[in-house]
Amino acid sequence: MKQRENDKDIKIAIHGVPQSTHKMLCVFFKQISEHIKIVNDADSPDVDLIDIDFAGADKILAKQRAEHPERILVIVSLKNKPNTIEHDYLFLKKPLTRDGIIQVIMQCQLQLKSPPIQKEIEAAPKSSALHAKVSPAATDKTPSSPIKPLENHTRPAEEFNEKGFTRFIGLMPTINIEDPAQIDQARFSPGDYLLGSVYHAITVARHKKQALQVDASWRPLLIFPHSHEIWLDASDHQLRAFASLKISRTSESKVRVLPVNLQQTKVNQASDKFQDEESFLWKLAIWTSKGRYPEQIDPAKPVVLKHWPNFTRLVITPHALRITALLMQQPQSMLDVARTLNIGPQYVFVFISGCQALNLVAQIERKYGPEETPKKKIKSSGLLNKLLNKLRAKNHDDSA
Amino acid sequence: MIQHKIIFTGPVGAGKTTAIHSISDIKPVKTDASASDMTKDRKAETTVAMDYGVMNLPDGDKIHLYGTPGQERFDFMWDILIEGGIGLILLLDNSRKNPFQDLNFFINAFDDFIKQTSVAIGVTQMDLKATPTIEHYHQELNKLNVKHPVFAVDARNSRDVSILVQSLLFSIDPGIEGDD
Ligand SMILES: Nc1nc2c(ncn2[C@@H]2O[C@H](COP(=O)(O)OP(=O)(O)O)[C@@H](O)[C@H]2O)c(=O)[nH]1
Ligand SMILES: [Mg+2]
Repeated sequence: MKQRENDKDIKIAIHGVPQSTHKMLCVFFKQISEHIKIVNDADSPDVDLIDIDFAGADKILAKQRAEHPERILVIVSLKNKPNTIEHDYLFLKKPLTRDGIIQVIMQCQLQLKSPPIQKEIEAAPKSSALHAKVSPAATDKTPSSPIKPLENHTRPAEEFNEKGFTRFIGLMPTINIEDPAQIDQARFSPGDYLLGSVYHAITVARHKKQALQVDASWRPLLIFPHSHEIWLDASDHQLRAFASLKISRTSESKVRVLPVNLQQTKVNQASDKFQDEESFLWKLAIWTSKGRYPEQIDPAKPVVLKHWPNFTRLVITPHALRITALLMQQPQSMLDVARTLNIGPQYVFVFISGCQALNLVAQIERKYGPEETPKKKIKSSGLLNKLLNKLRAKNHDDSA
Repeated sequence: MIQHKIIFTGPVGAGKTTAIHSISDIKPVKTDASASDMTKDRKAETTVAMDYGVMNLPDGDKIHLYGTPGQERFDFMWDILIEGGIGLILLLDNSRKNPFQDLNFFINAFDDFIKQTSVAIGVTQMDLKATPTIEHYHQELNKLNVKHPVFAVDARNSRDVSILVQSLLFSIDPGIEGDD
């Protein structure tokens, strides 16, 4: 670690152990860090470490406390933490482990360096959590419209496995990756759908810095480029249904994009219909794709992801995190991603459709020069798998 | 036995304690010295809490979650603590004066560790201050030529924290699948 400060030794006196144990402990501590110095009582140690399992330990303890109340006290014992000691102390259970010692030493250091918790609160008016919470920040944001996630709309960051996703997206075709005809058929043209119109209108609204209304012979959809919000008076259910309908490109039913006339809209009466623009566009793209890929993207050419999507605020399609991690390591084609991860290509297609709507995707002709060496895989992948399951459970835990 | 651990770091108030708490199976542990079973003579309040949590996994495996104290207090013990760590969670408080300075400080401070493992970045307090945006953070990381996951995170929300940690795991190994 660089830039550290206060790089200083910590001095420990060990009491109540036989000479042989003392020697062993010296070696043990030294192995952990050279900065841990075992010293004599006369060398003004920072810490008194007392093994209370040895005969006479209580006397030593009393003496040390009386003479050196300023030192940090660490009690070591085979038994559980004693509750008969009336001093402030840290506890280490035998047998001593490296990690146990590290934890205790760290706590000692914290105490040495910053005795008063009060200090932290007093001394940090600008950075303290307490202050950050209220003053500067609160005045800083004047939301131009109230967005609140609401029941009607998809909970952001909902994370789907394959089964749950089918419920969310409706039926999704299974695509055989070895059948070129099926791959070919799995393309769609965003311009044929509401998605294309909304995407286009958002681009214009941003450019003109003007609120716009999309009229697609459906419910009015308003775009607020300043606050990055969408206003739509429709449930997710309705949106999902409309998203998959082709909008005829014939002139009579053409989609119109107009400036917003706030007087004529119901926006003010229905402030709960606002949604975050990115989450909305992503969701719309997913419902439009239904496991297909946008025609602009060649499934056999490498895909570059600009950066990780902001997954905590997006619907997480099946395998989305893995797909992202893989593409961040190395650009590769949608088909290669599906093969590498051994998943149905429809899951790669639907994910890339979302990314495409958020402008996160680019394509290159061929792979970058020599294969980049992937990050060293840690051996305990089994452990990571278990942890992943646990995290996913947490993820669903508090869905209330 | 090696200890599996994930390190949470970031400036004071970024949400480390809260984040660890929101996914830990135990209440965050304060130093033993402030344990409630102590009677008199307590200057116990003077002890500094070290953020610590545990996630219990099947077959008795455990993931230990450690929070580092504020950046003022880096020292050699942290080198030792992070040794063998699975990866780093960096939390940044968007409402602080200069969150990019924080970003750069911590990325630099943990440079070696990040190179050996991975980092996932959570930007907190975005409900209080919307800018810089997540996109801005990516631009800042681009200057360093790295592409780490960056998410808007509310440390009080276990789902946000869960997704953040998941992204760390996948960054380490996109091959992991889990059970479903
Ligand atoms: N409004 C808001 N508060 C948050 C958010 N994340 C964390 N907090 C709060 O910020 C405060 C500081 O968090 P804490 O975990 O103590 O930060 P630490 O110093 O890094 O350990 C706590 O009161 C949290 O509840 C967030 O995204 N939004
Ligand atoms: Mg804390």
